Amino acid sequence: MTRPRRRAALRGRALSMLALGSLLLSGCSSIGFEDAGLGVGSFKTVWAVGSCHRLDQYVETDKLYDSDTSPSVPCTTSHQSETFAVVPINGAVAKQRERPSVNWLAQQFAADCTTQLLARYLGQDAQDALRNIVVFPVVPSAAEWRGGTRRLRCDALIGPRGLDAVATISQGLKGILRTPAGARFRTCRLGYTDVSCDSLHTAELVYPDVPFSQSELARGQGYATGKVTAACEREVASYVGAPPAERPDLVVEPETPGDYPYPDSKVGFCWAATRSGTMVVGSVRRAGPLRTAP
Amino acid sequence: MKRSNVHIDFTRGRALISDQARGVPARLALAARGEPAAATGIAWAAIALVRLFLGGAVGLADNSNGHRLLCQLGVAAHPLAAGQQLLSFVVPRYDAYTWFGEACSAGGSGQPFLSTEYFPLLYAKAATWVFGLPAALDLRMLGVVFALVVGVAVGWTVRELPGPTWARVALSSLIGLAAVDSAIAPYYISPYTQPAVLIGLLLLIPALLRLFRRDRLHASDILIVAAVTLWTLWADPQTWSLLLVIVPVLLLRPSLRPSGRAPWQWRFARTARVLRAVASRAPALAACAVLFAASVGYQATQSRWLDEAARYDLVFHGILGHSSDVRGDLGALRLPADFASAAGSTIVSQNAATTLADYPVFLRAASHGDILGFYATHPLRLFGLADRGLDAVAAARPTYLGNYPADSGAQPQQLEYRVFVATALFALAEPFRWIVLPALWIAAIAVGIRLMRRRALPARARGVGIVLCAIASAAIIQFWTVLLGEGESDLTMHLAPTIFATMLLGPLFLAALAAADQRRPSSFAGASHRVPAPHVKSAAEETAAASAKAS
Repeated sequence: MTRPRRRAALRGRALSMLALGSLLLSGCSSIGFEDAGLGVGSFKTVWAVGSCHRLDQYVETDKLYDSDTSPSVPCTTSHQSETFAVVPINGAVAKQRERPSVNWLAQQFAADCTTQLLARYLGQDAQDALRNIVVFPVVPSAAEWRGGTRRLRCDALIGPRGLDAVATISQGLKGILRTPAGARFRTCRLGYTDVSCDSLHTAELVYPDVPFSQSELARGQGYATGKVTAACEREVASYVGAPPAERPDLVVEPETPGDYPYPDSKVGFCWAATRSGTMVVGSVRRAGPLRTAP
Repeated sequence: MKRSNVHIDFTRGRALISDQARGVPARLALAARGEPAAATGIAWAAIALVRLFLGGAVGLADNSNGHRLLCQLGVAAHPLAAGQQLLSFVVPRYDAYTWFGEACSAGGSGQPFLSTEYFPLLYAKAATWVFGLPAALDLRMLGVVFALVVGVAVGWTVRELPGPTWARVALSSLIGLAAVDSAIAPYYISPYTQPAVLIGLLLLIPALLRLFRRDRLHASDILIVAAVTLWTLWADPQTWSLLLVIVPVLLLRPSLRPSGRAPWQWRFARTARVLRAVASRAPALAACAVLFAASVGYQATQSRWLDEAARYDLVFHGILGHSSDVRGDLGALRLPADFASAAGSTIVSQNAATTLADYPVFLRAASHGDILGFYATHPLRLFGLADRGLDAVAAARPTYLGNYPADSGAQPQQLEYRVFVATALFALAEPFRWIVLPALWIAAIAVGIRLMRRRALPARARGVGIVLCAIASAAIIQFWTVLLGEGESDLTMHLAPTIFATMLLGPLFLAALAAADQRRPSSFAGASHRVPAPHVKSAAEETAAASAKAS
């Protein structure tokens, strides 16, 4: 064999070896892919009720991102969510070796992380119309699930949240609705625009709504106004903790089914409005112990 | 007029300009004449930069898929202005942010979203810091990176195309024109994986041209093609289908000269021939094995969530959404009848099947194999699917995503038309998409095969045929891979590789026509190509030779 040919053959063999080596190396490197491209560190879910969490990015509370994505922080510092319950995951979904699809898990969330649990934690009763706070369920990470963890963390996530801004809070949420700080989670309105009660407003919503049957809806505006007004006077008095005579600054403003701005509404609503439309900040809700719903 | 004293060494393909050459333009012009590939590459990098930035940067708005890729660089999108919609404007600015847990996984699945697009983004992040821009990552820097890569690809193509210089420059420039078209260039300033795929396709052309410039493939050229292919395979999960094109292409020509015949080859001549063919393709076979393993490894890392979303779309949107017998189709797919209420829905729709108690049945029962099986037993449904795919290809670009930043003064979701040759041709073809697009793909394959089989042509010219055939095949295979594997959401964006490959067929057709005119170079030296007369020995010479042999 001439020298150039021998050299070419050697080069071919060397390249083949290189290719074979690359093949083996690519196999080895794929093992390491598991940890690449994820968040930093070996992060573990915090399962403590009352723990607070920073979720500064809107995407962190996207429906898909359903595991814990932030270390807990003291509740006196800026944060966006707080754990109000930790419940076990049961049933068919719990038997899966790998963490199931978020869509499957979501069916579990609705059954276990209930708004009743949240209401109890916040100190909400039947008259409090909540706003800017929702249930945000947190599941174990894929690794924790494989390790046998079958718990669901129920967090209260504050709002408003958007791609333009994310609201924060620097205090615990437990019983917050029984304090003046709870005004940011109550529903008020300025004109016809719904706002939270810690901003300028002219009326505050008092629950529960006033239900109407089909036959009642057909009886006309006069009947509807009478029914809602009667129900609202009682509810508003209870809400503010004083009869109307003692609160001359307030008037009951009934919203009948179909009133602007909700023409499709089939129920009535009660508003505790300021007399002569004065704009105020804060809630008119009475302080004191919880009152059970009638 | 005084002439400058310039010496150009054309034999080395390099201009040596004396100190007396005056003016930068003159120097550049002379340098360009000596290095047409470099000059064309630089020119197209400049053109790409100008089209991306002159009059304000243009790109592609995020449709919320950008997070899974960009979060890996430790950044988060800068908050939008109040009331601004995500799809309306490009958000080039990303701020530093530390993601924890699965916040940076593919769709929250806990599995990473890996793509070679990560590497250009790393360069862009470094460039953001170098230029002192007020962000952790400015996607406009990504545009600069890809503009330079476009220049490299076009310049390299000039170098590898056969034919006279003017033709190589012209044909490569047409490829450059496709690369900076308004349907393609906005991807260069976007948070998606598409630019890595598109650039991979663009680089594959000169890499393949280089590979097929000889009848025997060089191992180094095989490695280059394998590297470009690997880049593209790892750019996006859907590009695995490129393997179906590259493997046969790599095995088309031998690379090693087999050693002498062994005696057993005479008894088993046919087997021996096959073995020799295989042995002569050992480097290409090794490369194919590596590519296959790498592709399998990459697919194994893909998120279960993304797979679930794709399967949902294929079944509920693709099959049931266009069905005249929803219950019959559900029966064929062995899915519960109550899924009928979710026909036509996407996974985020109000009436999505995800809310139904039977949803786990879908997760278990509707595999990709089942979906392919459905189309195998309902082949007529493929026509409807193809129609929607061709419609998406003809659209050329996602029209729901804005191309301008919010501070540009543009309208929400406004599209840019700075270079719209290919876009316009696609728009003209739209009413005839059932004729134009398949005809173009099939004609490209036919012309490519015809060209590669003309043994009278030099290897390099036949190589153009192979490239034409490969790119057309890639367009078709990618088309069906997306339609049968990815679903119909964001179809135009998923079909971007098909759209770009189709755009590239025009210049490659012309290159094939130019290559068909070439002649195989003579193996004899001399300008006249005359065969020298045989030398007849004289009697004295015969005697002298015999005596020398005897002594």
